[in-house]
Amino acid sequence: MTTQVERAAIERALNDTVLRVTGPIAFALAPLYLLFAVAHSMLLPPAQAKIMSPVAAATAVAFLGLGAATRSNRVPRSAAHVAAAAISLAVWLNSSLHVFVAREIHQTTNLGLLVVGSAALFLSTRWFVLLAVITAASFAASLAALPPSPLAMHFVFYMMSAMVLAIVVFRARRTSAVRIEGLRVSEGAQKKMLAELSTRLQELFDNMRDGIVVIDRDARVVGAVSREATRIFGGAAAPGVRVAELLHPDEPEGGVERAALDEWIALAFAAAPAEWDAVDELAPRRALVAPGRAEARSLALEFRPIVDGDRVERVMMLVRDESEKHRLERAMRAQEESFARRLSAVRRLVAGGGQALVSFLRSAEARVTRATELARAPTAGDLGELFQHVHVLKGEADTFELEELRDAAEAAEQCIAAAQRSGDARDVGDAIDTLAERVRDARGLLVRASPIGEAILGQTTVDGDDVARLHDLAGARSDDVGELARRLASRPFGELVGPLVQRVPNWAEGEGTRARVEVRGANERIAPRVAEVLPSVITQLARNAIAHGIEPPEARTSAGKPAAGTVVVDCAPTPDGPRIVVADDGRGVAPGVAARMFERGTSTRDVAGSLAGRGYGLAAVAADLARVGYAIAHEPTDVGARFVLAPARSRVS
Amino acid sequence: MASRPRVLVIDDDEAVLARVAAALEAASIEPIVTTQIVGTAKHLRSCDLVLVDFHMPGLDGASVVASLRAALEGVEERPSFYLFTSDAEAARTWKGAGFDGCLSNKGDDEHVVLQVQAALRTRRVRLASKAKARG
Repeated sequence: MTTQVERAAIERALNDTVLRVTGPIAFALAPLYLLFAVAHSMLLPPAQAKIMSPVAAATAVAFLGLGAATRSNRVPRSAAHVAAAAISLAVWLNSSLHVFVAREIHQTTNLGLLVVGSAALFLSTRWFVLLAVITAASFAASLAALPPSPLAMHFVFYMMSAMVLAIVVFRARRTSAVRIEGLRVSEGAQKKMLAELSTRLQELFDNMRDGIVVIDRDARVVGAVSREATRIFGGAAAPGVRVAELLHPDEPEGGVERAALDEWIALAFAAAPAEWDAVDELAPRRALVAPGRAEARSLALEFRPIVDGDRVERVMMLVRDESEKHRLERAMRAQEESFARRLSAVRRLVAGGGQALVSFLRSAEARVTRATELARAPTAGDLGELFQHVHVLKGEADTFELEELRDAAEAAEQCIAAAQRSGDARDVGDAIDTLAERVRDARGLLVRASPIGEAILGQTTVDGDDVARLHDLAGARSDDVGELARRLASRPFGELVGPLVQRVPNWAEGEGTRARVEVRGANERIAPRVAEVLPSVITQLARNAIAHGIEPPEARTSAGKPAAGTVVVDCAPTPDGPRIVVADDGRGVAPGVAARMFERGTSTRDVAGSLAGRGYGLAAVAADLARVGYAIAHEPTDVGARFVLAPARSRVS
Repeated sequence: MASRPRVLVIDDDEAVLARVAAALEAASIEPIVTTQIVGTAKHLRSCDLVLVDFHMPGLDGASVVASLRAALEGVEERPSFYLFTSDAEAARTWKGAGFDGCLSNKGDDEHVVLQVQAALRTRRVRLASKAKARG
């Protein structure tokens, strides 16, 4: 069904058609009427020729003018039928005039020709009807005005036949023209609609965060490429280019990633739309473009089918550039690995007797303090002393495998040497500042690696037997000497539980889960008798936490907990002695078990594991603690299990 | 939970094996690594992919692949065999030596993992196509 807009467009098109033929018709009729003008002057009686010949000549001139006007586009489209009517009326004027001047009924044949000719010229019903009415009226007027003739009836039928023929011709022409122009208008509208849709689709593509590339069954780019895809791939993302060429430009033909992509695309197009989920599982998810090069890009990929009926017609590839995120992740991972290596190296040093490292750091701090003083305004002699301090520091850093400190010392050495050569020591201060910074880093690393934290910096090596003897002799005294003897014999809490930091993750891994230890109050002092039993007690509680408490990572994640469990070991001072809490964030203790958990043979496990399950651990813990005046209690909590170890004379919970 | 794909890596460089094994493990691919051809047959049936270094001293890649394939006589779902090399010259010979493909850029663990994943995908695509053809 045509709309009003389409009808208007069709009428405009019909006017165009009429205008296109009006000029040629005017030019064709002009010489004919010139001929009529000559013929009239030669063949008609002088009285008739005197009228008809000038009229025909004027008509010929008018036709020439009209033809020229239409050829030079001076006749607007809206005036097309006016111009066509001008031709018909000029012909009508000549024909009617000839009838009345000659007073012959057979001259009315021209009116019949006129109406048929008009049917072949006009495409507007209104204009055609107007011309037909004028012609019929003038024919009727002729019949009335001319003397009666036996041929009158013949010409009446002739005129009727001409009218019917003209109507048939006009209807056929207009119907065909309307249909043809209707199709043209409709096709134009569809093209316009498609162009608009295409523009909107492109805008949609361009506004999406992902780059979009459409792939055909030959594994080549087809159609529009989104702005983001053009940004990611540059000019390479053009129609006809193979997708493998976009994603793996460096790989040779037949390379493993190209082959995998091509085979997957072949599978994707061979699959039915209903099978897409299974096909999608085999799709590549990531591509590393130009690996190993500065312009390397990490792309996240997704694929969507474009379906036509029961087959995959195209595949849409969504591309997200994750290069920056990927670069940051790599940098962070490298930094974490470097830090873990350094920490591990220092832990090894501490485990092998951290005293040497502590001594080195003390001397390094003293050297850096002196070097900083010298670097303020160094004389030639100062530069020599500076070099000496830095050089010794470099050698010692090398011994302890403190690479960054060694590198900073070497840089400072080179800077001082340059200053000695040039006499310009402006950069020396900065180099010494950097060195001081690296010494502070090494100190921080040592504190972090030490199970007793900051306390390690104040420690010195003494003989254990001497300390025990001193405690035996003076430990019971209530004066300062007794206090000092007890303090010397005591152990920092962190030292007692330090080994758990590395052991707990290993035990957890063996049980199919993940866990870590968090030590609080590492500097609290533990009396020698308690210090003897505490490591085994806390070890047992930590093993129990892993064996019975910490769930597997999947179960923890489903329960909204972090994948790795945490065992907190917290030591806090009380007037009666340190109070220790061992807590985990696992599944907790079943109510039925809690009441009798410190009795022998109580276990929540049917089968004993490598860590726990025999039912003797907690009973032994309670007995060991009782021997040194401590008691253990299970304290109910919302998450996990919580055990409190406190001097028996104080309240345990 | 679906079982992890298993990849056998044969290379004479232990450092390369350690690095590749860690990278594959991190990508949820189970690595089996060895510097020896002897004794690898027992792993072959359970592997999806076998990566073989072409330039192992005293070994000829083609004969290694042929002998490994021979050990799989009668097995329906055989692993895919890929040449594992950074040598562009050697990489061009994979087809002639009887491999199913070639993994390059041995020094870049991340790229190695992506290539292994691509090889595993190819294998799964081929198995899926074969199953579909059988109806």
